[in-house]
Amino acid sequence: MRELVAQYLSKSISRRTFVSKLAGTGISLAAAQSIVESVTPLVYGQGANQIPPEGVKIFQGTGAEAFAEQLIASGVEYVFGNSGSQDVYFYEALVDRPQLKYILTPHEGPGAAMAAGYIKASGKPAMVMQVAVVGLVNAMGQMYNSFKSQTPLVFYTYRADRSTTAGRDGFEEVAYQEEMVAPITKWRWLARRPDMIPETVRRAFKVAWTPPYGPTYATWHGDYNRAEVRAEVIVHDKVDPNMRVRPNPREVERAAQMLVEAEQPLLNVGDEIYKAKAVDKAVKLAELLGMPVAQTSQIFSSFPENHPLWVGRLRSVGRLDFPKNVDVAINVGNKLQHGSPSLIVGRDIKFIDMRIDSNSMGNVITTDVPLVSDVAYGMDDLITAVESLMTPKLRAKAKQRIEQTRAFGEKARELSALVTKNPYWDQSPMLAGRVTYELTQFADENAIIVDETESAGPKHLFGFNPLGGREYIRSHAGHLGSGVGTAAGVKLARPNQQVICMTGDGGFIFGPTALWNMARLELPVIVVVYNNHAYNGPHNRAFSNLPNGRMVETGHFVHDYLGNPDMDMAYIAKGFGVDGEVVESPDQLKEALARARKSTRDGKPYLIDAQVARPSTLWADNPWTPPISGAKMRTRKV
Amino acid sequence: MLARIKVAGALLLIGSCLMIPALAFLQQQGSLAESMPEGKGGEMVRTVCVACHTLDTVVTRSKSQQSWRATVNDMMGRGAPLSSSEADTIIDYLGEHYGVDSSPASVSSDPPGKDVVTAKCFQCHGDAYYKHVRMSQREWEGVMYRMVGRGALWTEEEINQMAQYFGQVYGPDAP
Ligand SMILES: Cc1ncc(C[n+]2csc(CCOP(=O)(O)OP(=O)(O)O)c2C)c(N)n1
Ligand SMILES: [Mg+2]
Repeated sequence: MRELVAQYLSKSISRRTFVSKLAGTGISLAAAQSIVESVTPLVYGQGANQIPPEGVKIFQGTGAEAFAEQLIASGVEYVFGNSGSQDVYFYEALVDRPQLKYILTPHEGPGAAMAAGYIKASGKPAMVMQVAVVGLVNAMGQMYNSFKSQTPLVFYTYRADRSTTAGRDGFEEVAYQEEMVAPITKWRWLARRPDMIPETVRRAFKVAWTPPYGPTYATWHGDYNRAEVRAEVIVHDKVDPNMRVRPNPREVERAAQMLVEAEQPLLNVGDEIYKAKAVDKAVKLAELLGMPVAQTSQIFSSFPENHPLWVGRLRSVGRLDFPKNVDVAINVGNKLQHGSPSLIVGRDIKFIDMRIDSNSMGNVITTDVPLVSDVAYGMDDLITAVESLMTPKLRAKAKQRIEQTRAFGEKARELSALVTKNPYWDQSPMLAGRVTYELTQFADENAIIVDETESAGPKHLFGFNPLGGREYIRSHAGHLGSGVGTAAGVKLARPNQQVICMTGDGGFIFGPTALWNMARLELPVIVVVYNNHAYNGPHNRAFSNLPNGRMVETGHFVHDYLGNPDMDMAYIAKGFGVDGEVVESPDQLKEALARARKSTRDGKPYLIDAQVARPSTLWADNPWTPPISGAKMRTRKV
Repeated sequence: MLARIKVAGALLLIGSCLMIPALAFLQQQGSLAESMPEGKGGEMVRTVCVACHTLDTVVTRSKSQQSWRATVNDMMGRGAPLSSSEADTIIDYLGEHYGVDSSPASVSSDPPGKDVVTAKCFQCHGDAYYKHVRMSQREWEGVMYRMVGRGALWTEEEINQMAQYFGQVYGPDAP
């Protein structure tokens, strides 16, 4: 038997042969299995924690095993994938590497959204693994979302063409497969040899996780997965350039000077603050200067909205209700995406821009002081510099601004609360705003809201607070069908917090398959579908672009009505193993939410299909649908 | 056909250009131009600003000097070719003749509530969207409260005034 173990350890015999030979020595199969379990770790011997202190080890085995080893060394715990024939060598490698867990996702889009949600909520790496080009194209919507939202999601798909036959228009072969993703990845690469798999994987993680974050894509010929390789596996720390850089001290001095001299400074916050876990520093900086805080919307909410200095969402500085006379604005960590020609920060305002994403600085808005840095370090340095300049007089001024802002905030809260006075507040089907309002009343104090809705009313009444209160995570950057998947991933990362997913019927039906993952993995999320049986947003845009057009005149909108027949999302959920119900009125909604809470406490997800009115312009009671009928076209009733 | 379609409320969005038949349009713009007080700033408004939008978006408003400055800066951000001294000339002119104390050109015959609408709604979007909608005052009130849900900070009194105005000017029987 000793001989057998030695053979197995030296890899001269396979696992299967080892088991059968053990059984042949008279040992029971169960006992043989348990011997294998105890010996196997020695064969691979490479859990991440077994990599020597210098962080580099030589691995010998199949390409797929080397791939798995490098994922572990790169800190990956979850792989979100869909099955492919050339990845079987990888699945094989997982059997004895329980620390690397595979989550089978039945559609690549929601699967990748799940990975993205997991990353957003955990700050840890994950991997999306799809089948060749055919699976890749389904995952690309989330690749786009990750690119726009700067989420470090790593994708791998193999090439279906073998290295020995590529170039002959073989099955599923597409030339330059890796170039398909060029405009929506930070980096993409084709491994040139099987032993370059770990190196390629390493670089994919290194680039994705070097700020500003973004998706990367690695690929190689499928046959490399079974080739025998000898290659280095290296822990992530050893290849991470650690781009947590401090800003230029001279620029910090200038910024501090500008801020203390300002009559009315303003701070705009953004995702880099959330990602750097530096919300407390933003609070400190704002309080030090008595500086009101706003946010141009992004993926996260990056400042406590119950703070006296919070003034709300920023479309452009000139349009804020308060403060009115901003002379110095500082942006920390916001990408400042310009969707209209109007400048977010006008030319007459002095502008300090602090972020690691130097690429997007100065593109539209002129910058007086650029502070390229990790925002946590940047704010540390800026706080120190401002503190050194503060005089009693400046402190008094800051205090006064805090009081003024507090007064505005109180007034704003009062006026926001008027939303309940809507004459249609209690109607059925419900106002979208009513559904959101009920959620703001229902959600746990530290709930995580995953949002895929557009205009669903008073979300500001949630009072988001990333410092231990409710958190906001937007599921997408334009590509819909990400809400359910993202919420599932968020719950996987944060099992001890309530997770509520808000999505429209249109958004939901682009990607409901992650419900099945919620059911299977026991991820108790509450999903609320705002079901107006329509694409309300696109309807509005048709009307606003062509108010005098033929569509408006005739009511023939071909593009926006999802009814006839109405989709029953609770019924769809049941098909995926998730319980749920349809609700029509606010009272029913409240009762359903109570049932949802009970269900999630019992470890089960729950879906509420909330019937929502189509309140926008020119919605017929019974909207027109194009008169296309296959049944009527028939000449034979088959 | 239009009557068949239920107009149940409007979600106000940033509007696009108005489509007014060409001749009527030119006549209207001509008389607006004539109504403008003399001044270098006025001349620049008639040449630079109209390259992109109609005169009525300027001369039917009244704003503080500060607010005009914000508007002009915004326009420069959108590509209005003005030097800072030219911008100052325009801002001074608009602040003087279209300031908060002066009444805008068309206000005299307008029903009450118009100034509130001008001050509140135009902060974020133009009138192209709601101009074509016809609804009751109650339905308009519903719209106003939905805007509150989207972050608009208005008092009940302002909301009532606006709903009343819309109910009158864009009511079910309005042309
Ligand atoms: C994958 C994808 N396809 C199409 C669109 C275009 N699109 C933008 S909004 C929208 C409608 C969304 O409908 P729903 O989620 O029901 O929200 P509602 O507009 O009804 O509020 C569509 C189809 C998109 N953003 N993403
Ligand atoms: Mg919808």
